Order: sequence, then structure tokens, then C-alpha cells
Amino acid sequence: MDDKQFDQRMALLKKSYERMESQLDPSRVLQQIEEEDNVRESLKSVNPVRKPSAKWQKSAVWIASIASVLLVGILISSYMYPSAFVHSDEEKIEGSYDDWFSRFQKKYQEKREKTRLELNIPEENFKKLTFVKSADYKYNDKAKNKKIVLNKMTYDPKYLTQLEQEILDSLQTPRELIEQIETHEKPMSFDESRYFFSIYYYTTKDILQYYTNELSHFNTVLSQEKKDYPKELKQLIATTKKQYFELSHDGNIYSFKTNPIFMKDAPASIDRLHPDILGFYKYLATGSLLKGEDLRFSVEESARILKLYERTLINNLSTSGLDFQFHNLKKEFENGWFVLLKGIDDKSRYSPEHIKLLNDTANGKYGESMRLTAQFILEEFKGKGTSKTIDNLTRQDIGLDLSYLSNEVYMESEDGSTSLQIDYRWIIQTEGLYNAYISSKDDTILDSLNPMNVVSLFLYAQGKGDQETAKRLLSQDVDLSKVVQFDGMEHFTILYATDTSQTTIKAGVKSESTQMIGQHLTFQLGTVATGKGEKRCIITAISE
Amino acid sequence: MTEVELIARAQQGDKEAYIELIRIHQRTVEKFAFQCGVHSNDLADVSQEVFVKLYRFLHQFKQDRFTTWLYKITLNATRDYYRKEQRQQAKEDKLHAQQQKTYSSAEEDVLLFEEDRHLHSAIQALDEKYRYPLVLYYFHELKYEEIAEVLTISLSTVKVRLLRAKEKLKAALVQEGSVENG
Repeated sequence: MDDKQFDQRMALLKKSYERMESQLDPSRVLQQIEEEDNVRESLKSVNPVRKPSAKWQKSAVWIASIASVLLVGILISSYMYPSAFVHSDEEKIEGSYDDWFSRFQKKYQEKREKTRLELNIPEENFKKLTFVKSADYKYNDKAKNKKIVLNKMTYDPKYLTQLEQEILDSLQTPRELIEQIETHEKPMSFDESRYFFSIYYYTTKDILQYYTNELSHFNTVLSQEKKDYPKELKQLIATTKKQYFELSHDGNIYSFKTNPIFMKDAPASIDRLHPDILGFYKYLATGSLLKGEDLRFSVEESARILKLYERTLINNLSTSGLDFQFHNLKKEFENGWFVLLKGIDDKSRYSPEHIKLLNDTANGKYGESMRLTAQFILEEFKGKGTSKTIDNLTRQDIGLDLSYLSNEVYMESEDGSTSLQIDYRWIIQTEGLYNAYISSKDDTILDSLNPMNVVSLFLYAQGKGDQETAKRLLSQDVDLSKVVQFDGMEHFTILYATDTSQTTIKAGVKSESTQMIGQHLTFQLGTVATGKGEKRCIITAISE
Repeated sequence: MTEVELIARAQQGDKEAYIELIRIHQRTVEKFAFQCGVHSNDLADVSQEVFVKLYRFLHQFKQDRFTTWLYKITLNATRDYYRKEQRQQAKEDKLHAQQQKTYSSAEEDVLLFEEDRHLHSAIQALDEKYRYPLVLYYFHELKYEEIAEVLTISLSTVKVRLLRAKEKLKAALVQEGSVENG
């Protein structure tokens, strides 16, 4: 860890400390002081304080006289020889602080009021919002604290500008925060996106709660058609919409949810957020997939959402950040897959829809972590008409599969590259995918594969000498006869993508096989249109 | 009303002024106490002690050193708390070893992010001679001279301790990272 990284971590922790809410009630301090005073008074009346003896009084007079002479001397010398230079410098700094503060005071109040009006929240409620409390605190404790600011100004000429920006930024509405993404010229890194989400979540959570509480005034009309809503409710919905919030209802429970990424009018710039963070936003927008033991959405829709969560969870399992949201998301993932894999009830278990979901899952349509489990269930079901894996499945198993994928299969390094360990389990998983394709020759299986899976499937097919399947994964420019031959995927140890979009993937070769294959095979990947408006990932070049 | 005016009025017994003074500084005191090792459950009590003590000594206040003085009082209150806490913990450990769990969940309420909590714990694990300068420098933006005054140590000692604190913390973080990553 270098100094810059260290300072960054300390700066982030400092910000978190600044969000701490005060617990002390100042009136209790006075209460304690008064209680102590009363006790003292009552003790005094019982044991009157003894006067000091006369011999000490005499010494005290002498000491006081000497101290007065010294004090007068110090005062005269400071008056006679003032440090003119230091004095004028300090005055200059103090002057610029005073000028700045009188301007900033107005600016702060204006921005605060503007934010309040945009959110349309009365001051009484507005001042209680966590992000407003935090901004007020910064304003009162930092900007108003002249002594500290003057100290900082002496060695940091940009301090006032930075302080002003920091305080005003903390008053941004959710809309402003989202629209601020546009100022990022390049796509945001995972860390930047993660940090942005933490600020966004922190700002929105209380606002959402406030608006949701406001809905209680309209309990009787919420179930009506939207066009029949009273004016006040329509106005509330319009205000929230500007913040990218949506009115959501789950049965009879109505609430506001934030949906800046997936809603119809989401700004185009949100594609600059790192894709691995999107699961958190989806979760904020969706809420729980389950209502009791039932799914709130269709099986397919639920599985698609869980695929998005998987990507976010895999990345966050390794960084362990945002854990308060992470734990909720992981729980949601486990509960969701538990219901999907087991079937909602005995009737739906092994129904055609259930079997289709298991097939799609095994083929990688809904992510990676549940593929092998779905594959085992299908194999057992085909053999015996029932599955022990389903009978014994627990939520913990689902969490373990996710951890396996995060810790042992996919590994994200600091530079954003991803690697994938080709171990026994991964080979079985690829074999399942291969068998599913061979038995059905269904190209839609290939359509949903990500770059890592395309390369894995190619290595498996090529290792088996199945050139027909291998060719299905290549663009027409690639001459398969020039690609090195090998007899099994077991010769490879790792796949690693050198960029986040995974356009180049290298397959590392086990040391004992390097003479046959070389150090590694390098795959270039691209896409082709499938004719349904979607794109399929294919290999466009292979080199040793 | 400026802080100096508030102090002057509080010195004359104006309790409203003293309450205002508490409001200005209570977050700094609570933050510092938390960073020095006070559990989040006890922050209100420790801060209350600080402001009661401050009131008792307010007549001794010299204008140019109020913040430094406040940090000193907080530090002493924290040390008293820490000693009491260690005695209490030893007692608790003998009875049952579950006390720590209650505190962990309370710390989670204060520091939402696990990374922050790891770093906070790593700072807490430092010896106090390294922890205090580090906290004052990084989280309270005190200058070396001010840290020296709060901790009653020399300027060169501040610099050396800060350097060591940083090295130790970095080593702890790297070690924690390597353990986490397997």
C-alpha cells in the first residue's frame, strides 16, 4: 500500500466519521452540573469550608504581588515590540476569510433552500434528513469555525474553495447526484462507482422514507386509477419523479423506490457507472423478489434480476465493501434462487416451466453460480424422475456456490482484469454446457454465453476433437486447422481477461503441457448479430 | 455571537451560552472520543463528562487555546473511561465472553461500511502513543505543534510517532488484506 492509497483510505474513514450522529443532549450536561452544585451546597451547609490559615495568606500576598509585576512587564513588552509582519499577514488571511464567509453564508443558505424547494419538504422535516444534518454540521462546525479555517488557510491556499465545494456538494439532491455522472468523461471504475453508490444511497434513503410516509395521507385513494388521484398526490408523484423515484406497490403496500438506472427516463450518462455495481441499484428499485414464499415477478424476470445481482455480489464478495447493502442483496439472492430452483410449490416442481428454467440456468442463461446445481438436478430428474439435490437444497448451499464462484473461479485483480480458475468443478460445468448443446443443437444456448464461457466451451469441444461445435464458436476468418490440437480441457489451468470488457482472453497452460501447447493461447473476442436484435459473443482470432 | 463571546458569557454563568458552546463542539468531542476507543454506546456519557469538567474549569480558560484545551480534557476523560472499561471488561470476561458482540453491532450503526470498520479497528489496535497523534492529524487536521500541545510531547516526538503510526497501520492493513484474500 503506497502513501496515496493510505491517505485515500484515511480520507474515506474521515468522511464516515463525519456522518456520525451526535448522541449528547446538551441539556443533560446542565442538569448534571446543577445536580452536582446542589449536592455541594448541601454538603457545605453540613460541613462549612474551613478558611486557610493566616500564614498561607501572608505567602499568597507575596506571590500575587510578584506575579502582577511579571504580568505588567509582559504586557508592556508585547505593546512596545509588536511583530508587524506576522500581524499584517494574519490580518490579510483573516480578511479574506471574513469576505469569503459573508459570501458563502448567503450561498449556503440559498443552496440549502433550493434543495429543500426542489424536494418540496417542509423545513421541519428537511432539517432532520441525514444528508441535510451532515451539511449543516459541516457548515456550522467547519466553515463557521474561524480559528480552524484560518489555520488551514495558512498552509493551504485552496482550502476555502475546497471547503465550499465539499459543503455545497453535500446538499445535492438525488437528481443532481445522478446527473453529475455526466461530468465523468470516462467510464467510472468499480471503486468510483461503488463510492458514488454509497453517497447516493446515503442521500436518498431518508428522502424516500419521507415521501413514503407522506403516502399515508392518501391510503384511501392509492388503489384507484392514477388518473383519478387527487391533485396533491399527483404533485407528490411528480416531485419524486424528478428525483428518479417511482411509486411502487406490493399488494396493498405502497412506497417510493429509487430507480435512476432502469426507469424509462433514466439519463444516458448512467452507462458510465461500472456494470458490476448495477445490482445494488436494481435492488433499490425492485425490493424483495418474494412476497412470503411467492414470487412477485415471473420466473424469467426473477432469474434475470438474480443474474444482475450475481455480478454485483461476485465483485463485492472479494472487496467486502458496502456490506450493509451487500448482506441484504446476498440474502435476496439466496432466497430468490431457493424458490426458483425448488419450485414455488409441489405442483410447480418439475413442471415444464420449472424444467425450462433449470435447463436455461444450467446453460448459463442466468449467470454462473447456479449452473452446476441446475445441471445436477436435471441429471437426477432424468434418471429417477426426482432430485435429491432439490430435496436437500438449502439457502446456505446457494450462498456457498456464490462464494465458490467469487473466491475460487472468478478473481478480480486491482487493474480490473478478471481471471477464472479452470478446476475440476469448472470442467464439469463446461461439460454440462457442452452436453446440453450437443443434445439439442439449440443455438440460443450459445447466444447467452459470456466471453469466458465461449472460450471455455471452445477449449472443451476442441479438447474432445469436436470441430463442428468448436467452429460454431468462431468467426469465419478463423482457420481451425491452424489452431494447436490438444486432448482435453485439463491441459489448461486458468483463463484471464486483460481488460474489463473481456475482448482478449488468455488461456494459461499447465507447466507439464507447455511443450505441446505453448505457454498460453490468446483469444480475441467480438460479437455477431443473432438476427433477433441481440448479439452473440464469438472468437475472432486465436494465437499462441 | 462569536465563540469568544460565548465563552466569555458562559464564564459569567450564562447557561444558554454554554449550551450553544456545547452544540458547537459536541460532535468534535464525540468523534474524538470514539476514535480514541470509546464504544459508541458510551459516547453520550463520556461527552457529558467532558462538558461537565469543561464547565468546572471554564474560568481558567485562555482564549487562544480553547480547542487544544478541549482535546486535552476529552483525552483525559477517554483515558479514565478506557481504564474503567478495561477493568469492567476483565470482570465481564470472567463471567461471560459475549460483551464484545454487543459492541460490534453498535459500531456497525456508526460506521456503515465494513472497510471503515476494519480500518477503525486497526487504529484502535495501535498503542495509544501512536493512535492519538494519528487521529488528531488525519481526522482533526491538527498541526504538529497543536498535537504536541494536546499530548504534551515534543514536536520531534510527534513527527516520529506519526511516521511509526503510519507504518504500523499500513502493515496491519496489508496483513489483514492478505489474510482476507486467503
